[in-house]
Amino acid sequence: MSCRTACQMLQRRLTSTAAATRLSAAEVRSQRSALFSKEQARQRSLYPRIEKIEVQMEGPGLQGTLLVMNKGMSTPHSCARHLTEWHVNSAALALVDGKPWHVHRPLTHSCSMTLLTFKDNDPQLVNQAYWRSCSALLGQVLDGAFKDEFSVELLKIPEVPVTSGAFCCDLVLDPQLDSWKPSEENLRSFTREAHQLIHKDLPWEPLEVLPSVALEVFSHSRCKQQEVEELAAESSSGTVTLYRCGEHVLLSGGPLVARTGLCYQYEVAAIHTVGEGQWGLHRRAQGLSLPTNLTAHHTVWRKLRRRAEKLVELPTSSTSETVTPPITSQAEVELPQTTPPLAQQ
Amino acid sequence: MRLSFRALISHGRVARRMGLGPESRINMLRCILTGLVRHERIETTRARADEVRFYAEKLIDYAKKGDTDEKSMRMADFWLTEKDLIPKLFKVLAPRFENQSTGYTRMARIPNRKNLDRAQMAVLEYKGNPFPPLFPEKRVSEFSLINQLLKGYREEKAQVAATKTDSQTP
Amino acid sequence: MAACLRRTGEVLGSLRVLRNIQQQNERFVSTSFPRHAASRGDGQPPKFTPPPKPVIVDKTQSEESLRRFLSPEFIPPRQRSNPVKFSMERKDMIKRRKAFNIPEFYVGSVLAVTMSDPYASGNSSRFVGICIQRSGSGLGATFILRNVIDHQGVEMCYELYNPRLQKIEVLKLEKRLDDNLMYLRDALPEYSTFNFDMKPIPHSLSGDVPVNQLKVRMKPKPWSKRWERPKFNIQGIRFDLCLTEEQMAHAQKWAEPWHQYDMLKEYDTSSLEEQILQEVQKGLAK
Repeated sequence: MSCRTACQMLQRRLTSTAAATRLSAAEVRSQRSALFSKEQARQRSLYPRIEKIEVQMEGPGLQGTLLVMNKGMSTPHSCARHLTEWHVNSAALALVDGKPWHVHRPLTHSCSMTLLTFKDNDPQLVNQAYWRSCSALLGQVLDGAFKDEFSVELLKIPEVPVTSGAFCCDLVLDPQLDSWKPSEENLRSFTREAHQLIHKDLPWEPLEVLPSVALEVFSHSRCKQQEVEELAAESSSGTVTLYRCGEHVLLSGGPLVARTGLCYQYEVAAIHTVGEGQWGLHRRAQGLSLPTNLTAHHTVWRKLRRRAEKLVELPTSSTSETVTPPITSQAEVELPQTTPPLAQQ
Repeated sequence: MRLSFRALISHGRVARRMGLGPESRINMLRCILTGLVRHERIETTRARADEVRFYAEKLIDYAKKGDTDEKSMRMADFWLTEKDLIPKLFKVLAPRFENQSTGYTRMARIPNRKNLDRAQMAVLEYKGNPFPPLFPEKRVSEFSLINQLLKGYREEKAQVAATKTDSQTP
Repeated sequence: MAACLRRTGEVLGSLRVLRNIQQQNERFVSTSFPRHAASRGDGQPPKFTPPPKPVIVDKTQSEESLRRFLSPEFIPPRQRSNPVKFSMERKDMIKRRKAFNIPEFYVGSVLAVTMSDPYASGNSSRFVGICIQRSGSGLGATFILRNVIDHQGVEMCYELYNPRLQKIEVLKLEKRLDDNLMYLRDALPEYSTFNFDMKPIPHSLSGDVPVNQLKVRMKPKPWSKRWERPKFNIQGIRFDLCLTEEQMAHAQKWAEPWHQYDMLKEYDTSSLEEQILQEVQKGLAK
C-alpha cells in the first residue's frame, strides 16, 4: 500500500505539468471522446439548411455518374452507398479533386471524386494511409493494454514507408516500467486486443478542429499538446485533424483508412527500446498487417513477420535519437528467448 | 449400367454419345465448329461445347501445317461446312496461334438456359478474339501493399548478401 | 580307254604336286621376305610388327538389319494407364532381345519357329508358317503362324518373349497388302500351304521391304467374317470372283465415311515411336 501511494505521488509529480489533476485512463478517454462529440455536433449545426452539391464520380465503370448529395452532411461513404456494396466495403480512401479525403469526412463543395481501394493500379496513397491507420490502431491497443497505475504516453506517429517492413508507434511508458521487456506472451496479448478491435469494425471518424479545441481535448497530456502545436504550424489552414475510433481520440498528420475492419492479418511484432528522449524512455512498438483480400500465405507471412521484428530506422526525424547498436542486438537476441516474468501486471 | 462421364472416360470411352448416332453427332459438331470459326465465340450447351472444344483445337493443329498440306485441307473441307471460312482458318486463325502449341480455346460456364429444358450452357471461344474478355483480367499491381512489403524484403536480403560478400573478399 | 584314264589321272596328279610346290614356295617367300627385309636395316634392332588380328565372323548370328525398324509391340496402346509399366516392360524386352535374337518380320512373312517341347522328339519342335497376325503389346506380344498340314489348317500362336522359344527364322521377308491376314482361313488352302523344308530366301538388309501384291481367291461363302465390309478394309481378296456387284454395293451400307475425319480416333505415334526406337537402340548397343 505504501508502495502504491509512493508511486502515485511520483506520477503526480511527473504529470504535474498537465493542466488537470491526474485521472484514470478510462476517464481521460471518455472525457476526450465527449469533447470530440461536442465539437462534432457543433460543426454539424453549422449547416442547418440542406444544400445540394454535385459529386462527379470517377473510376472504372463509373464515368459519367453524377450524384447529388447534401453539403456538409454527405461523405464519400454515403456516395459509395449509392453505388454498390462492393464500393462501400472496399473503399479505403477517397480522392476529392485530387486530394486525399477521409471516407467519413463530410463533403463541403461540388467536386469530382474517386474511391480508392487496395487493389488499384497505383495504391501507394492508400498503402500509406493504411500503414498510418495500423500505427494508430497499435497506439489504441497499447493505450488500453496497461493497468491504470501505469501511464502510457503515445508520441507522434512516425511516418515510415511501406517498404521498411513494419509500421511503428512510438510511446513512453511509466518510469516504473523502464526495466520491463515485453515477452512473446505480451505481444500476443496485444495482437489479440487488436484483433478484437478489428472484429468490431469501428470507423475512424475524422474531425477538423482549431488548435484551441485540440489543446482542450488533449489537456491531460503535455506532449500531445506540443504535437498539436507542431501540426497546426505545419498545416496551411491552421487546423488539425482529430480521429476517433471507439473512444480513443488521436491526432494524425495524414488521412486514415475508413474502418478497422479493413485489416485482416495483424500482428504486433516487437517493442524496442529506442533511447532516452524528452519524455522518458522512448519505446517503439512495431507490427505487420495486411488488408482483406490481399492476404499472404503463411510462409510469406512468416518471412515478413521476421523482418518486421527488426527495428525500423526512421528516415529523417530520428537522426537526433539514433539508436545505439547494442540495444538493437539485445532486443533481437532477446526475442527468441523464453518469456521473461511478466512485469506489467 | 449408366456410368458417369468421368468413369466412362476411364473405361476407354472418350466421346459422348449425342445426337441420333455417330454420323449425326459428327454432323452436329461440324455445324457448331463452323459457327465457332465464323463468330469466334459461341454459346451452346455444355456437353456440346466440351465435345467441340477438342475438335476446334485439333483443327487449328491441322491448319498450322499450312494450306499446302493435303490432309489438313481435307480436314478443313470436311469440318467447315461453309467453304468461305477455309481461308479464314488458314490465314487468320493459324497465324494467330503460331506461338502456342495447345490451349487455343477457352470455355466458360454460364447460367442454365431459361428455356423449359433448363439446359446447362457454356460459352466457347477461340482465344485472341476481338470481343470483350469473358473473365475480368487479373490485375497484379507492383505497388500493392504485399508486393511493396516483399520488395522491401528482397532488397534487404540482397543488401545483406552484398555486405556478406564484401566482408569475405578482404 | 582305261589306260587313257590312268594317264590323265597321272597328269592331273603331277599337276596337283606342281601346284603344291608352288604354294609352298609362295608361302616360304611370303613368310621369309619381311624377316629378310628387317635384318637388312642399317645395324638397328629389328622393329617388332605385331601380326594382324584375326577377324572372327560369327556365322551363327544372322546379320543385323540396316532398316530403322521398331517392333510394333514396343508402342504402348492408347489408353489411360501408367507409363511406368510400359517403360519397365520395355527394359525387360530389351534384356530378352539381347539374349535371344528376335528378327524383323511382318505380317505376311514366312517364319520358322523352333520351340522347346518336352513331349517332342529331341525336346524341340519346329513349325513353319505364314505370319497372319501380330497382336498384343509389351512382354505379352504374340504372333500367329498359319500353315496347312495334311489338308488341315493349323495355326500356332507364339508369344514373342516366351523363354521356351529357341529360334525364330525368317524364311521369306515380305509384306502383304493387309496388316491382318485372318482371311486366309477362308481362302483356298493353297495360299497358306508352306513346305517345312523351305530354304530361307535371302533378303536385302536395307531398302524397303518388298510388298507381295498377291490377291487371294476365297472359298465360297459363308466366311468366318464378312470380309467385304468396309471396316476390315481388305485389299488382298479377289472379291470380283466370289461376290456380285450388288453384294459389294450392299456392303458399303456399313461404311463410315466420317470416320477418317474424326480426330478423336487418331493416334499419332510417330514422335513416341522415334523416342522408343532411340531408347531401344541405346539399350541394345550396351
